[in-house]
Amino acid sequence: MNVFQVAVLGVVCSLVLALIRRERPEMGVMLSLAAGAFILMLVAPRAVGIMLVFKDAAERAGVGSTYLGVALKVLGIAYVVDFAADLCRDAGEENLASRVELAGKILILVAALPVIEGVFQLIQSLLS
Amino acid sequence: MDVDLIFKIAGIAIIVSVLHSVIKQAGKEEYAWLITLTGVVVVLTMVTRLIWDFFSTIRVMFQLP
Repeated sequence: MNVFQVAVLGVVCSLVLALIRRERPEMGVMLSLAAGAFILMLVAPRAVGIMLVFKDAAERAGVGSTYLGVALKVLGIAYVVDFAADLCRDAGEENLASRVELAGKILILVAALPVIEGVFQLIQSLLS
Repeated sequence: MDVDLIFKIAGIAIIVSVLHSVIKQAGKEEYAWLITLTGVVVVLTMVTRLIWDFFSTIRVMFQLP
């Protein structure tokens, strides 16, 4: 899946969208959703390799795998929220987009709680 | 899961919009909306299936719950 196929797909989809968005806006939103998801699914298998490299580096460096797991989870949540929020904004629903982003921020905070507690305990032990 | 899914959706969208305006000109407004509705439903099922696959790959990749 080289970069040219991705670029061609993006250009073709935006051209078709220019045609149908004026006539049928709801179809346009669905097509842009499908195109966005499809382009990223083409790249996803490559990204798994990147994840493995980071995992090996973390183990070798002795960093606790919990921190890497939390970072990965936060990255995934941020990515999915960004995808959904941009789509809502694309469909003209500014309000929905900011609601989705707020929910995403809360979920990210929930996912990062153990790390935050660890930092507080570390500070406490340093001070005392 | 090939790239023709995207072009299938684009094709349906174009056909439905052309049909809609043609039939609206012919004076049959309600049939035009019927066709648009079926087009939307068909595209929606295809898109939801694609989105489900997309989100499951994301879930696998980032170990989300």
